[in-house]
Amino acid sequence: MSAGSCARKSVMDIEIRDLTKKYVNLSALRKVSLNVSRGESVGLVGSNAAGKTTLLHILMGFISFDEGIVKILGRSSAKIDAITKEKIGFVAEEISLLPWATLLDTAGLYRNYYTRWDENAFSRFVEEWGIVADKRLRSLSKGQRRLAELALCFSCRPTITLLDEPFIGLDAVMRIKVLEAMREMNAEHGTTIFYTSHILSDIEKIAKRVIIIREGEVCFDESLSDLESSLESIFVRYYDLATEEHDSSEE
Amino acid sequence: MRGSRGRHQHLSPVFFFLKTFFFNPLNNPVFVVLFFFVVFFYWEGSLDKYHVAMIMYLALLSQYFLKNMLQGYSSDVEETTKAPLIRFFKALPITSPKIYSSYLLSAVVYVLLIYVLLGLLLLEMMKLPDLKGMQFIQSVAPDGDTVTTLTGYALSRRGIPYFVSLDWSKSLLFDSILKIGGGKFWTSLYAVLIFIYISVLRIFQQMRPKRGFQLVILFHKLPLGIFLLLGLVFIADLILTQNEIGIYSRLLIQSMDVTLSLFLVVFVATVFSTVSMSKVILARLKGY
Repeated sequence: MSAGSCARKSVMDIEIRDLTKKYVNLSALRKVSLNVSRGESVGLVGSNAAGKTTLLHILMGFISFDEGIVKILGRSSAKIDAITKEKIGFVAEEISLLPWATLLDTAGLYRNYYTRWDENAFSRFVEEWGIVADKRLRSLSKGQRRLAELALCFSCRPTITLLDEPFIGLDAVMRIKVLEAMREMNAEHGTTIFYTSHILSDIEKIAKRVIIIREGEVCFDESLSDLESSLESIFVRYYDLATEEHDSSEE
Repeated sequence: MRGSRGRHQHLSPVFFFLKTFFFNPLNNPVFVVLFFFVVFFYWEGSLDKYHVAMIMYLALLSQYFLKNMLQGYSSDVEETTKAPLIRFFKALPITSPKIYSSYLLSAVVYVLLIYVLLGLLLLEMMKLPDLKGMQFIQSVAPDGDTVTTLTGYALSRRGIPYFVSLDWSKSLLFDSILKIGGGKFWTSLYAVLIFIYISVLRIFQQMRPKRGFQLVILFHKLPLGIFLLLGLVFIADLILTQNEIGIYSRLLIQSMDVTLSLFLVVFVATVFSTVSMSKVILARLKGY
C-alpha cells in the first residue's frame, strides 16, 4: 500500500485525481493521481521533462490542465483565491524576484500580504545565510538570489511549500543550511513540503516519502522508511526499465 | 513581528513600484539629476531656454531609461521564458486587477510629478525678470514687420547677473492683452494641459480598454481638432492678408520661438515615451 493511500483519512493538502496535461505534441502528465496529507514531506523526482515542473505549476494555478481534479488546501487549483494563496509558499525553478528591487523592499511587500509573516525568522535567515539584503537583486549572485527567494518563502510561514529545484545554484554549505531550515519547518511548524530535486541525496535527507515521475506518469510512490534498497538504485531501475520498454516496443 | 494583511495591502504595491522602480536613484538616476536640476534653477531664478530644453530632455531620457531597463531584463538568457513582473506577482496572494491598477496608479503619480516639475519651470520661465540697463532695439523683419527687442540684465537669487533678450512683436489686435511672454505662457499652458490629458487618458485606456477607447474618441481627438482648426485659421489668415503676414500668424511666430518649439518637441516625445513605457510594463502584467 502506498504512503499516499495510508494518509487518505487525514487532512489533504494536495489531492490530484487522473490529472492529464497535454502540450501540442506532447503528453506532459498522464492520469496522475496522488495525495499529500498535512505535515508530510514529499520529494518528487524524475528525469528532465518528466512533468515535475508542469505538476507544480498546475498546483499553483499558473497553467490549465486537460482532465482530472486538482485541489490544493481543499480548493481547486484553477480557482485559488488570495486567502488560500497566502498559505502556499512557492519557489520556482527560475528565479522569480524582481531584479531592480532589494530583498528588504521585497520583504516589505510580502509583509503586507502574508499575515503569518515572521520577521524574526526572516532576519535570522538573512543573517545565517549571509544574504545581502540591501542591494538590488540583479547585483547578487545566482546563489544569493536563490537564498533570498527561499528566505522570503519560509518567512511567510506557509501551510504548504512547493519548491521546484530549490537547491539550484547553492553551494554544499548553503544546501545543508537550507535542508536544515526545511526540516525545521516541517518538524516544528508542521509545514507540508512538496519539492523536486535531481539530487537524490537531498530527497533522502528531508523527504519521508518519494514519488518518481516518468514520462508524465507516477511510477513509484513509497514511504522512504519502507524502501528495501537505496533510492538511487530504485530510480536507476525505473529509468532502465523505461529504456528496455522503449527498446522492446521499437523491436 | 507579524504581517499585516488588510492594512496597507491596497497601497503597498503602489509604494513598492514608486520606491523600487520609478524613484529609485539606482534604477532611475536620470530622475534624480532632473529633480536637482529643477530645484537648482527654480531657486536660482536664472533659467533660460537652454536649461528648459535640457530639463525636458532629462524628463524624456528618464522614461526611456526605465523602459529600456525593463526590456533589458526580459532579454536575460535566464529569464527568456517569462517576464520578471509576471513571474513575481503570480506567486503572491494579490489578485490580477489589484496589481494592474497599482502599477497604473504609480505610473500616473510618476508622470504627474514630472509634469508638475516641468510646469513649475515653465511658470518661472514666463515671469518677466527685473531688468536692469534696459534697452529697446528696433529692427525690421524680412516680412516687413517691425520687431522690438528688449535687452538688459537681471540678477539671479545669488546676485549673479545674467543677460536677457526678449522680443516684443507689434500685434495690432493683441497688444492690449499680450504682455511680453504672454503668448508663450498661454500656448505653453495649453500644451501642458493637453499633454497631461492625453497621457492620463492613454494610461486609463490601458486599464479599461473599451471605456478608455470611448474617452479617447471623445477627448483625445478634441485637442487635436483644436490644433488643426488653429492651423486652418493661420493659413486662411495668411491668404487673406496676402502681402503681409496676418495677425494670427504673427501671434504664432511670436509664441513659437525656439524655447517653445523645443518644449513642444520634447514634451510630445515625453508623452509618447511614457505611453510606450506603460505599454511595455502593462504587456507584462497582462500575462499575469
